[in-house]
Amino acid sequence: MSQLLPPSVSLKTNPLLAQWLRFEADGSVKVFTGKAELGQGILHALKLMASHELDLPVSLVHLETANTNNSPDEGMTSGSLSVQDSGSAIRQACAHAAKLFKAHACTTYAELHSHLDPQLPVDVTVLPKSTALNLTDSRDDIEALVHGKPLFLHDLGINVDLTPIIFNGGQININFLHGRMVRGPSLRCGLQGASWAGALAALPEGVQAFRDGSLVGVVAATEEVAEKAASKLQRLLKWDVEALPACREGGVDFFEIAAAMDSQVFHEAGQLQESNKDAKNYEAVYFRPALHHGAMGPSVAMAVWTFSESQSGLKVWSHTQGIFPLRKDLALAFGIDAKQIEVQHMRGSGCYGHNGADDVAYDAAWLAKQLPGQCVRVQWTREEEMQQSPLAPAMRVKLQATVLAGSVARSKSDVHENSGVELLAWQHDVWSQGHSSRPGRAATPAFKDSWQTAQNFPVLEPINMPAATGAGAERNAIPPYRSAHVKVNAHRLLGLPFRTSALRSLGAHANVFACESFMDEIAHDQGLDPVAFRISQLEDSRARAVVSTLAAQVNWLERLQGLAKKEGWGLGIAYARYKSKGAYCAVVAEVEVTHQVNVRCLWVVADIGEIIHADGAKSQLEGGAIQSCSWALKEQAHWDSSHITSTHWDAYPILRFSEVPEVHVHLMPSNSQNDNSLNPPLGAGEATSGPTTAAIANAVFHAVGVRVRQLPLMPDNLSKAALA
Amino acid sequence: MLQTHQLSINGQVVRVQSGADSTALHAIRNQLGLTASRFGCGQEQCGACHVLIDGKSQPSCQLPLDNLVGRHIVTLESAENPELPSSVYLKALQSAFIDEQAAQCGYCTSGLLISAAALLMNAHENISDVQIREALEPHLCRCGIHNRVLRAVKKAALQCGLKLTQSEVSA
Repeated sequence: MSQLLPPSVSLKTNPLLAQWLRFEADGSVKVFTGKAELGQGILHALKLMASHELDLPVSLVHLETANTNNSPDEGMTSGSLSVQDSGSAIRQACAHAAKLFKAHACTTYAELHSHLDPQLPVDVTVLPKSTALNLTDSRDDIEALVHGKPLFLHDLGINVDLTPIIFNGGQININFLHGRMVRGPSLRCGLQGASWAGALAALPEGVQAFRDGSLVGVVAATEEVAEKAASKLQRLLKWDVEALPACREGGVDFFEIAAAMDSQVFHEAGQLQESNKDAKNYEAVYFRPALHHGAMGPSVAMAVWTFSESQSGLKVWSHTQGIFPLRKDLALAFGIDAKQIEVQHMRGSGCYGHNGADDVAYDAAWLAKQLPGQCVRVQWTREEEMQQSPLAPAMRVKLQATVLAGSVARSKSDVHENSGVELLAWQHDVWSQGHSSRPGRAATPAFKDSWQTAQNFPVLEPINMPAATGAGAERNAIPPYRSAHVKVNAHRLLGLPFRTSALRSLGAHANVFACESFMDEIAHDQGLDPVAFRISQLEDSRARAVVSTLAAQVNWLERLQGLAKKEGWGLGIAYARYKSKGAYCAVVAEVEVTHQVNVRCLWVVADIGEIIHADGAKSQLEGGAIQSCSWALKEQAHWDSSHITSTHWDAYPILRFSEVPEVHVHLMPSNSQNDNSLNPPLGAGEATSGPTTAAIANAVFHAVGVRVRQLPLMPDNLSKAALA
Repeated sequence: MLQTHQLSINGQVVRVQSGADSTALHAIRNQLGLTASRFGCGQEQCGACHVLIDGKSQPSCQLPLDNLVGRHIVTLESAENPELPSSVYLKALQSAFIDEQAAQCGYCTSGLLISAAALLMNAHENISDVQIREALEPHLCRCGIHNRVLRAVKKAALQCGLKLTQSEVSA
């Protein structure tokens, strides 16, 4: 049965067929997307969708890397939306093209070219192919990756296969220069003028140094010379520095020390019940510290300016998540028209949110502006990546619930039986800095280094995106469980001297950790099985199906009983529907608590709607689970009175091979259980982030009877919780 | 002052010019254009820059260039060179990584392949899950591809005629 695709946001802003597809003389098809390859395999998934709909071999479908000159503007590659937005737009465009192909009795797609009006809008009433895609092809870029081919922006200009570079129709001198930045430690630092003069005199030959206000950079012919010059300046330059607040466990006291707070009722529904003497009140406070993105490859960019009478402008190569937002803020920062700027996307290392990509693009553009016609490459160091790119904000969540224990008889042996417990009220309060400092959203640029220049651009306060686009700190703060009254209050902390922004799943990580821990606490206190309790309180049948499928796969009750005999072992479950409207996901964690928490196994069941590329989706779900496991067990940013100090992997350890658990991932079928129609596809990349951490915390409680409400689940926090 | 160093890399003798305290990674990437070995931390903490030096997997990001004189360096680009003893292991690993789709972003992949190749090349008959994890312990991966990598290394080990120690096979 064919059915219309859900409407794509991307088609609204880019309605023309020619914005998505170009039919080449050799019969191949070029497909354009505004979404960026971040290591998640999105270009491959989009290519499969196009190939399927056009009925063309994959080898004849070419996905064009995002470029502001010829890609549809699709904003950011974020929020697990690429398959939903870009994918359905491409699919619709291809379905339309396939229909035209038949109507014009073409034998190859090359012939279609002449029949097409460039202004023809994509026909959204054409039905796509009826079958679920569930394609099994391997990602075609993996072969290049394992052969060490130069696919990364980090290799541009260095590897001869990635030159020459074309810009404005001409070739640019590829003898590019290496740039490095020098800065003070905090959000805004004043450079002490006297130290600048002295430092300049000490610079070695062959190094050019530039300064604008308190922003300093150097350029040299080789990376080593640039590095040495930058570290020399870093030692010699003196700054007036804004002090950082004392570092208490990754920001546990931020909500007390923030200069101001923007408190809003984010959500309220249902009726508050009259007090009931049989009801019991619960309250608990949870905490997630500030985290680093920790991309493996520190951010890098290349830029060149041309100034001529006929044409002048800026070209930037970036591994940004949003080529158009980056272009907008570059235009703001340099006071030029966005049309004079070309941003070319090239892949960086895996990207899990707003890392240093946009900032270093600004750095390269700023240095290149000093040397017109010359390409400048800026490679951040590991320390810069950890210190200068935004942090994921610390989050505090307080939950309150009123629970009425019912009189319905219940049995722990049947997970499907009604628990007889009723949630009368549920209140979720979340305190956090904003979760977005991304470019493209304000009247002044979002680049941290642009704030240091003499133009005096303001330091931007991190914001939360509106609920319609998935929210920020409030993401997943509304519980999925039935409650007579639900209220969510969001408190955005203002004026803290930390730049915070989006990290994979944003607020959902801490909110799901809190909500799912709290559900476990209530279940335990009421003497209920945590799986049965959840199933009894979930409204949505797809949610219940995900949880019960998972329980069946792990043999929940038998496994629980089995582990009861093994000292220090425990099992925990958690569930969430990402953003309350994305993928459904439930996770069971099996842990062994020794002197530390060891996660031995994770089971994941996800309903991602129509499955496009099962292996890619499973890899994303598993990767998200392992990353969340790392956050849960080990990660916490720290700082001293002036600097972020978790700037290398010894100071900010992440999960290593010896610590990685087994992971089993199961996908629910693409079709609806009710009428067998296809469920719309949902992104998989962030669905496991919240539930994995929560499942691990619940497993720790099951293993040792200690409820740890403060992440990470390190020995210190376990001891503290045990003594509380 | 610039110095000329004569190095043996991927079976070829090459000359590179660089400063006295240049690192091996800078020379390999920026001068020789061999970009498979990656810059990740510059502090020998992440594994992205590992290369084979006389058959041992080592980080190259802090290694002074003059330490390499007279030693044999192998990077991932050498896999196609059949004269090198490491090639057969690298190629088996590469095809196993493709079979298992053992990469997301692929930034750490070269380092993983190098350490896995060293492990297989120096193994006697048997290999265990614990040994594989130990060999890969210096390598960080942020995408969470670890389990696929472990499966791929086991597959390649079998391909290279090694036996997996039963008690240690878990993934």
